[in-house]
Amino acid sequence: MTTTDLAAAARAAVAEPALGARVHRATAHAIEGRLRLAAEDPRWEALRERARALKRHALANLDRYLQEFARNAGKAGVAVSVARDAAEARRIVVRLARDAGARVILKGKSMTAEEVGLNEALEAAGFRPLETDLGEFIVQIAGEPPSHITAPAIHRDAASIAGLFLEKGVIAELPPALRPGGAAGRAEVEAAARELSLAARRFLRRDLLGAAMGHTMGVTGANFLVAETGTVVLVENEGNIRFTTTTPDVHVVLAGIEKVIPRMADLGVFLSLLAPSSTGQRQSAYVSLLGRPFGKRRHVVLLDNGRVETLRLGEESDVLSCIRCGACLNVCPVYRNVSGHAYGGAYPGPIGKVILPHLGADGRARHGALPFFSTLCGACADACPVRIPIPERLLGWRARLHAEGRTGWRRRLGMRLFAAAARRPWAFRVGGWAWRRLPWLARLAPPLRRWLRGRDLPS
Amino acid sequence: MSHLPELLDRIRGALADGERLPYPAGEPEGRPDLAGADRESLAARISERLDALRGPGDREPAVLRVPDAAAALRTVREALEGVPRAEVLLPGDAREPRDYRAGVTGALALVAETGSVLLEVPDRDSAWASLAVETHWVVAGEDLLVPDLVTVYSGLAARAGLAARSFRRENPTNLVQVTGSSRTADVEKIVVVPAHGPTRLRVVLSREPVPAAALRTLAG
Ligand code: SF4
Repeated sequence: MTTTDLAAAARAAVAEPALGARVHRATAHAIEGRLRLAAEDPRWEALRERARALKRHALANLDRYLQEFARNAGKAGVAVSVARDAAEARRIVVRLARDAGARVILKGKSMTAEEVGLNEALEAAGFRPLETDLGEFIVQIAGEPPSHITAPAIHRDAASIAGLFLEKGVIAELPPALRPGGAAGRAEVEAAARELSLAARRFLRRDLLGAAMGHTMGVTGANFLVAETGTVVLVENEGNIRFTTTTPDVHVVLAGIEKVIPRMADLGVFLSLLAPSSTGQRQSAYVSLLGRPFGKRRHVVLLDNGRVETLRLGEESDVLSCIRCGACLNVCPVYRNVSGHAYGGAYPGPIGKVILPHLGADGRARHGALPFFSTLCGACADACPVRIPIPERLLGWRARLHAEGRTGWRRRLGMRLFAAAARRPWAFRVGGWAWRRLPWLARLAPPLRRWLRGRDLPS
Repeated sequence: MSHLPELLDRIRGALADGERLPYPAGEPEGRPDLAGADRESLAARISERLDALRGPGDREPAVLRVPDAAAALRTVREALEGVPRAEVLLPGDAREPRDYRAGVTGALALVAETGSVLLEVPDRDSAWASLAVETHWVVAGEDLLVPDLVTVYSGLAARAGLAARSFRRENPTNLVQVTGSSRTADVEKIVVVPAHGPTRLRVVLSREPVPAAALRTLAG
């Protein structure tokens, strides 16, 4: 996505009626919960500090911990393989699905599967991937990508979900409040949300329960991989991931290599931070700690896809510490106005801007405009439970992309002019004079006018 | 297909110039407000937390406190009176996956601060009692109460230390931490209970420990 594409996508999102208001409302709820729980936990800052230190330690010793994880998972009867890139990950999972004789593939919500385009690959190979998390199910039947890390359908309201469910046969008729002329007070919308959620439960029930009889396969991501015990840890609220990992004969875990943590004791730290930061809950309903396979086989696919190269950056590789809580999205003034689709990648919001350019062979080419798509306000870093200094990482990316000549002639010219002016007091004064008159000058120069359209100059 | 040794080599190459940071010193902190708390305070806290997690319209207490194992079993029997045995999953039952009215399990630990119950799920058959049921009943003694998550997972780590000697028997390899009923908020952030799992979680909390074998007697 070029800067121009990105700006166009952002403008379209801002222009979409009520989208910003909807996302603001939904994220406000999570922010309020996180702040309340953080304020009542006297160790909150100490936990964040420890979580950051643990992740940095794990990344600095990743070879050792991956080896330990693979050895212990192997002892529990779990197979481990490696995918160097997205294409290899797709190939491995498709092959496992063929070997399992699967037709329907139960899917637990996984951003890593989204990163590698797994559903598309499974469909192309003749399988039917079935998203079992309600938010993912909604966006899957809508044919859209998720627009938030933890709340994939945050951009849709109840009425649009009801329309979609009706069209796809999930419900036979619209809930009363959502029919034309229906009362749409908060109580009615709540009743409709309940009706829609329960309809999705009924719709997916047979597949969730029936899988054990057939040869269905389940695919999930992983929140953590515990090296010490070879345990795969998955966090959720709905229970769909428990079904996805339990009923099928074959369970495939697709996880980034950075998901490994050293010890079981570390899990207490991460779990104390994850749910409060993500949904403002003390804990999510279910945390599965999986060792021995429930069915015939469990297979962990460790994904690189650019992560190993990121490790070369030393401290800046801490972007791999992300536990995908979504807190940085919730507080981001850009995300809250444009929602997730405008970012054009699997990971939207602040974390997406610093991680997407690292991923895949064409990460920089596809997502190199993202690090410039920020006001550098710092809200993300304040919220991040593992204390990733996202604004600093955005600046790091800007410098790197500039040094690599990927920033486009306009930006390079602008930087050169500024550098020249900053070295000469007289030029700086003239520049300052011109800067203050920019709105007036813009009338003469259309490119300047366009540049100013989305910006307010400091008065 | 890429292989692990090749991946590890590439990682070593990428980390060659970097500092091998040591494991962070010290221990993670537990909740100071619950450090040294007696069982009574922990029991009160878990009751408060689990009551707060009940689904809309559920007004029955989520935690039922009883003096001993016998009273705990009586409580469960009374609650399940009139429910056909075929609709109840007890520990040791091996049944097909379908929807059941109730499931009964023990616990490995109860986490006061978050209202969480840690269960061992050794195999597929034992998973349904806490998953494919309307109400999940947990029967446990107050001796299993721990203040917070940091404490419970540090304890598990100690258990995992035993794993090297006897992985399969000493280390419970499939666990699930359950906190309240299954829920979703994917439609306009409105909380709906249930999602795919149970509608209700009930904990029968006994002052005396409950031996694991006691739960099997419910079948008789
Ligand atoms: S960067 Fe931090 S705040 Fe953002 S999703 Fe990752 S862990 Fe959460």
